[in-house]
Amino acid sequence: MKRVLKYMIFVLCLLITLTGLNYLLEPKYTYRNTTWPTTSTFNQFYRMKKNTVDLIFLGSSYSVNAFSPQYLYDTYGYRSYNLGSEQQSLFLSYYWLKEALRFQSPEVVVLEGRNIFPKEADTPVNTNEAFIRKALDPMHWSSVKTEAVHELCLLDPAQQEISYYLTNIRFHNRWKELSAEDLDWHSAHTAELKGYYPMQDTQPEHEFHPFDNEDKGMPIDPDPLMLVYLEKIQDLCLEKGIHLIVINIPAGDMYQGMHEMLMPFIEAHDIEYYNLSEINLYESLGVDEETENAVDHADWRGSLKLTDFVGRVLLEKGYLEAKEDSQWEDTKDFYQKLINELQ
Amino acid sequence: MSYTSLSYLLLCAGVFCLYYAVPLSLRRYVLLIGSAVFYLSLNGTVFFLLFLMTVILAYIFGIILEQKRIKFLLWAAVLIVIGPLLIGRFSGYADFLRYRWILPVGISFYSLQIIGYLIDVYRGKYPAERDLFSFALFISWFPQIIQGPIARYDALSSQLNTGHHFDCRRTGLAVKTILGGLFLKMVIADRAGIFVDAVYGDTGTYGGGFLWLAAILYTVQIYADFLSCVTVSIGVSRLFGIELMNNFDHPYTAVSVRDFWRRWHISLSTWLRDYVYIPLGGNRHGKARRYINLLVTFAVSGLWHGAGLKYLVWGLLHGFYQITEDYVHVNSRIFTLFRVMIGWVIFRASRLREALSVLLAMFTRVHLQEFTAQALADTGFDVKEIIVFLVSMLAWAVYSKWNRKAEKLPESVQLCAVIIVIAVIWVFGIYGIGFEAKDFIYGEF
Repeated sequence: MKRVLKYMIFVLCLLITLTGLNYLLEPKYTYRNTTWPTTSTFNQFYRMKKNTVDLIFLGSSYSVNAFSPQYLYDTYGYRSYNLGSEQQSLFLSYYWLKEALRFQSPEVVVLEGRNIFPKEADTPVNTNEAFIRKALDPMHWSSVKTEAVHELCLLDPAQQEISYYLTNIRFHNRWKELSAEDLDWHSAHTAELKGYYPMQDTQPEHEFHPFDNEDKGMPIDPDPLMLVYLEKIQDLCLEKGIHLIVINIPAGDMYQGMHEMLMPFIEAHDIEYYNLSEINLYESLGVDEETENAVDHADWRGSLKLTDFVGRVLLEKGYLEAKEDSQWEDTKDFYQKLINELQ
Repeated sequence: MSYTSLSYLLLCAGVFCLYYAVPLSLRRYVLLIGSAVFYLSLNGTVFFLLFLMTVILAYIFGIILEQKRIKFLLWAAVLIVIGPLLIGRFSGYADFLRYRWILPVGISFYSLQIIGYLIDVYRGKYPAERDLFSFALFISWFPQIIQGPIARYDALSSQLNTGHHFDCRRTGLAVKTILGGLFLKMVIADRAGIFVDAVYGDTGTYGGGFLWLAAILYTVQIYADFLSCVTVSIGVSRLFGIELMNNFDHPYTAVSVRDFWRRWHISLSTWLRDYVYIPLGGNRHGKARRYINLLVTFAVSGLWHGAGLKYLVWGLLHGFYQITEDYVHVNSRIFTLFRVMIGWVIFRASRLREALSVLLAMFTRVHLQEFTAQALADTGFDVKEIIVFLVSMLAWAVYSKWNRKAEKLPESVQLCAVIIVIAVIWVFGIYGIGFEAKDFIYGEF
């Protein structure tokens, strides 16, 4: 009996050591070292109190820089969380929504839809492995993660399923890059801005003109697999009684030619859709282009306009009620201080 | 399925659990099934059928040779067994052939094992095996089929066929042995291989200094790699209560090349001695004949290692070294190691012409200025890798020297050491995405 106990302790110590090493070796994307702090965003999400997030944002880095949950709370009283991440394909958005629903019961999901169109066309899920890992590695082990990883590996045979569980297979060579930041548990698990990251002095990545039926541009088909996952997201939202809103941030590559290729799908599925590159919607944002940028990766001033747009829609439609919550109250000062610094 | 792959370790774990779950009398069948699964996953159905056919033919020839000791029959059996290997090897020499024969992994080892058995039966050393399953298990024993050691029937077969009881202490020792092998392979051998592969991938662009360093590191790599494989084989066999022979006895401490071959790949050296050198006449017919026998034996050794003139030259070089040792008595470890290392340069080069140009550059193109941190980093063997490599070598040297004493430490201390070794392999091992998990060097032969 004593011997069995000894070996059980040995196995336990071994598992703890290896789990600890894997945590240490995984790259950590936090506010300290990147513009799109995926690690802290997702880790913080798990720390939110159950069923307190009423609105979830999903999408790519455009979404991370566009939608500020703190501003939305301060202005409208809506409790939201931004689960966007770099080049988050709709495949990842779907599984993160599924994962989020294990802990939260949102009433609205806002999906930033740039990645409905091909972004990394030569990859099976419209984004490459680095970005997939940024989104999937912080996801806790559950049936959702198992399903996501399995589906991913079916779609992309180049991926190794086991490497998403034993992350050392991918990251063990990071021992050369380890720094004090890898031991900073607080930074890796705290996102006071709830997934939002304020940018300063950004410029549109492509020449931007809101479209107005004058110049349609070259039509590009949406990515067929992304439409499959858009449909899955919609089905999931319908099943849970969630309002789904798809928004395209103003972007030089969201011209009318592309817009029109998407519209038949949007109309056929009766999805609430806003393409903010459309001239009327863009002008409704009230962006002062001299001092603000709401195009592509919006700067922090532009992001307020974009968040405000979401707030107005929610208010007009009456999808959400304002609620007071200490999780957003407690970060008000942090946010205000940051904005003051940016000004 | 490499010996360091997760799938191999899972196979071992599966066979281990099943082995001790079934009654003693059925345990050998578990080993046979495990071996068949391993061979199938390694080589596919076609080669598996070729292997099966070879085993059945060797089994039948064994019984016939026991009853009728006809030399012609022995030669026929040997030729049938070694035929595929010979064709594969010689197609490597014939550049005019459009296609090279692809050989199943492990053929060099099991062919010698079968030939040794047939000759021993012919000589009446032991009776032929009547049980086909026992014979098949002896030939196909999965922990050793890829890289040996080349087992003798009388030493291994009875161990395989006797069901062993579970022994906690022995299992612990087996796990530690396996871990030692994995450490050698993944932390030391493959780390040295980073630099060696970079330099030998484009020898023309590197100066003599880098070529010397590559030669030194390859000398380390090939030993650590081969030793690791044998260590894993010994460890896995030990899980089932089976003791394999030790294939090495500190070969780089040899004081002569003759001594080196008494310590390096002992199972091959003794096989060549018993089944090639002595039948040729050994040293019984005067000096000249002895030298010819020696050169023939080492030429066979070279040919066995691979297809290509470089292997033949490498084998003959070792024969030549030993002939010269009759006249120049220099009992020096350094000089022996130096000569062995020169041999490894020929062995590692892609072909003989490259080996000669590398050797020429090593003696004519040395510039110390080439050793910059950046130049090393460009090969992938940067300063951090070098530090890990050196510390690992030191750790291995300390463990090799003190391992017997380490076994007497309290069990809890030993278990902590096991955790540390696993953690070191986990972090510093060369494996995973971004690396080609190298198969063992000797598995290619």
